[in-house]
Amino acid sequence: MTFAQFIQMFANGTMLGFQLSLFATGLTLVYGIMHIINFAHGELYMLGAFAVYLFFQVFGINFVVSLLLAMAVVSFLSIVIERVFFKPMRGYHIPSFIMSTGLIFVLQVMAMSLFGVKDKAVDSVFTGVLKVAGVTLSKERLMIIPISFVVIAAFYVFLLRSRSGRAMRAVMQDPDAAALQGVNIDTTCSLAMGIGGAMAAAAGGLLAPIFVVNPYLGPPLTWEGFVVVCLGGRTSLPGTLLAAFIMGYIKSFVSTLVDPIVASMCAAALLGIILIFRPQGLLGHEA
Amino acid sequence: MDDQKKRPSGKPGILKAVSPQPLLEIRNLTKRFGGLFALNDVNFDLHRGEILGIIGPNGAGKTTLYNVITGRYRPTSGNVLFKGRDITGYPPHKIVQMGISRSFQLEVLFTHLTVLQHLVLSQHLHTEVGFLGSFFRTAGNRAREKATEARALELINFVGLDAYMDKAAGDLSHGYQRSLGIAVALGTDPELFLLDEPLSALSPQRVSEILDLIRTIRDRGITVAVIEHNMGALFRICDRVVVLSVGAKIAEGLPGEVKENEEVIKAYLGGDVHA
Amino acid sequence: MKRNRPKSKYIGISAALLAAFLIPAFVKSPYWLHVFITIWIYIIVTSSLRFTITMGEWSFAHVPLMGMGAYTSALFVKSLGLSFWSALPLAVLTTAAISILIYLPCLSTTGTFFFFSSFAFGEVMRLCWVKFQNPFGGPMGLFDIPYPDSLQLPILPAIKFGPLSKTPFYYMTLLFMLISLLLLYMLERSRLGRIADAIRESNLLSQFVGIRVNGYKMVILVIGTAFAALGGSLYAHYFTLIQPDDFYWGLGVYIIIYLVVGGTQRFEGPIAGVLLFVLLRELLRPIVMYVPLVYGFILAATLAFLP
Repeated sequence: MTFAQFIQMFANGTMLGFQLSLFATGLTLVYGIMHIINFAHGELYMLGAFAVYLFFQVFGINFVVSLLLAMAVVSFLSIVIERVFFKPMRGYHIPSFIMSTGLIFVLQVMAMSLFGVKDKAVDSVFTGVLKVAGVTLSKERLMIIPISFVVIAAFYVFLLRSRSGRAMRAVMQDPDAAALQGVNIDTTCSLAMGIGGAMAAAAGGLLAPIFVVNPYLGPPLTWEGFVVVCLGGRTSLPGTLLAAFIMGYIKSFVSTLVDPIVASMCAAALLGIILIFRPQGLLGHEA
Repeated sequence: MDDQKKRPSGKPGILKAVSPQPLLEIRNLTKRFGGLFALNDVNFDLHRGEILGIIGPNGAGKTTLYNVITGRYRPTSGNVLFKGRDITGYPPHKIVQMGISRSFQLEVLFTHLTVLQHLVLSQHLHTEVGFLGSFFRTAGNRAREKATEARALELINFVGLDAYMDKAAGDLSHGYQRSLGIAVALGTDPELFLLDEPLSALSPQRVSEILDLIRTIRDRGITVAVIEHNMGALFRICDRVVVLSVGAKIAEGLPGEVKENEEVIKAYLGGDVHA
Repeated sequence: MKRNRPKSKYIGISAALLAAFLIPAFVKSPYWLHVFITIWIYIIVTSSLRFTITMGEWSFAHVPLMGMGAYTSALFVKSLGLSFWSALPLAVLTTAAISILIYLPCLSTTGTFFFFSSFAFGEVMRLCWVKFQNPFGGPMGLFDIPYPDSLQLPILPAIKFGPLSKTPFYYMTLLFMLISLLLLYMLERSRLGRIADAIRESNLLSQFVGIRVNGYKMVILVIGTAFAALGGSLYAHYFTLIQPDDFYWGLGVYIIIYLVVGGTQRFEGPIAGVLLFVLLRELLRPIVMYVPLVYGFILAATLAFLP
């Protein structure tokens, strides 16, 4: 393994880490506040990618604006989904999981009927390459890092400073106490779902120019995101970030050094091992 | 029904003096949860045929003691000996197999199964059915099934649940659920029966009924230990008492002695008591 | 125990059986025979999943294990030259043994944790099929899996299995399904079924009446796996082509949906579920794209209105 290869893998891993951070934070949020498992989260990512395709590629709107629009649209959709499908499922793990699998179908078919089945390409936003230590890295991929960072940072600022953010943290820690303090649980849940959806959409939009866009993007990412959530601690947001990067680097290094299949195997095995030996994840605090 | 285990004749006073080996020996039992000592170097013996009361303020570790004895928790250190045999750390189903049974403070039942089904299942260890017999119903099975049902009915009658035989456990009132829990524990044919707060939230009449039940159980040859907060009631039936506080044993002896013990009074009242 | 089932139930079952046996007489279209063959296979898999659920845990490794049954059966015939009729029971036994390895670590978990740890290890197993070209054929899978050998029964002429006529397959899968259902039914009614009920109702109390919970859970899982493997083997030798993606968690989700909508409480639930969804899909052929949509809505409605 040359140094150049190492840099390449490291950069890839970092990019994946950010992607997974955006994606998985939404999952953790939804689980931590509503205690449901949303396996259709990947579909929100996919719809975000399609939305960016629509706004940026088809309508020609500025990329950043397209991204924000996509986030808004998917956010809205997520809230609708929450109200309609997930509200009665709060607290039930397996039924909500089953319900969300039904949702996968629904959303995939929706995308198929709106956009067709074929892969769609989105033009690069940031063309050009950067040479770092003798390694060629595409700017497109690199730009994911600062943009995701901004989104994640914005989210954390919201979580730590704003009133709604504090409400969310309260509900994650102790829903009953939070309710007694006057926190509106329903609003908080919808908000969580909305934010989760927005972040998934952001991830989808950011990666749209890099990979193709089709209705089937969701499932592989969803279960990776799930591994990340379990690894980091299902109710721990910092844990999710940590786990996302661990996962990103494992994927990147193992994929290149061995092969992608073994990388998936590692992810699966990791899930099993974590659930058996340390169910609360790395940073979680549930017994 | 064959009793494969030997039973003493059931006269407590005589046995206590004669029985050489305690039925249950608790030796230096300690259980830590992180920094908290739920049990701290607890030592005492339980003799065949007696009714031992276990008391102590909340959080004293009484239920933890049961959990460690019955294998739900492994002790941090120390041993539990049953009939001279070290059973420390044995899993619950093995403990039951050896002859120790327990009831639970908050009822643990098969919610949707009927009372009768409970008592049939409780005899799991004694329905000797070959491996294949589990799967298919043969003629030999049928005979054993009848015997099991008969014993189940006997147990139902013993605790007075005859009228509720076909009711789902979840539909029973609190008090009857309690009785069911006791009946199920008896169904395993134990030599030692550990009861956990059997009298809580019961009317005085029910309390008397359960006390009589416990006496009868002992008279049938089963050694009994009872965790209880209702000391007045408990002292009516128990032969000896062990007192736990904050994980440690602070007193042991006859009910009369323990009642007057200063340490015990202090533990309950939380301060010095000057008579 | 209710011994006197209403006469109507017996009549209903007999009628259904009769209908099932007579279908090939009336339905000549190979397409529809194909549909029914897949229905019979899926009923085996879904019913065996239901059997494992009776002890209170949901396994997500069920379908991957079905796939394992498919792969081992195919390999026994293709690489080892065994006849289908000996490969089938061997595949079932082998897969059952493998399932012990998979479930053993998972048994220290329960509930959702068990569900996803079984998923995790099932997925690792499935990825082995993708990774190891030899013997599993990698992502392309195994093709050219031989049909079952001709069956020589006493009175009848030799029954040939081949691409030309679906009828032998129809009857074979139907028979296997009926035998499986019968066995599963008897098992559920047996003492093992009672123990499963107890474990489901209260793991704790089960332990305290002396039931060795983990042991029995494993037994139930392995039995369920055996039937899933049977289904897998039938699948392999009928479709003659199996790929790792055939058994990915998407199919597992479908099976769960069939089970949930059909009903987990009653033995006939899975049968109803499979029939409903597969026949519905056929009805909706013209708008095949929307089929998952309909599935999704049915599922949502069921979960909302019928627990």
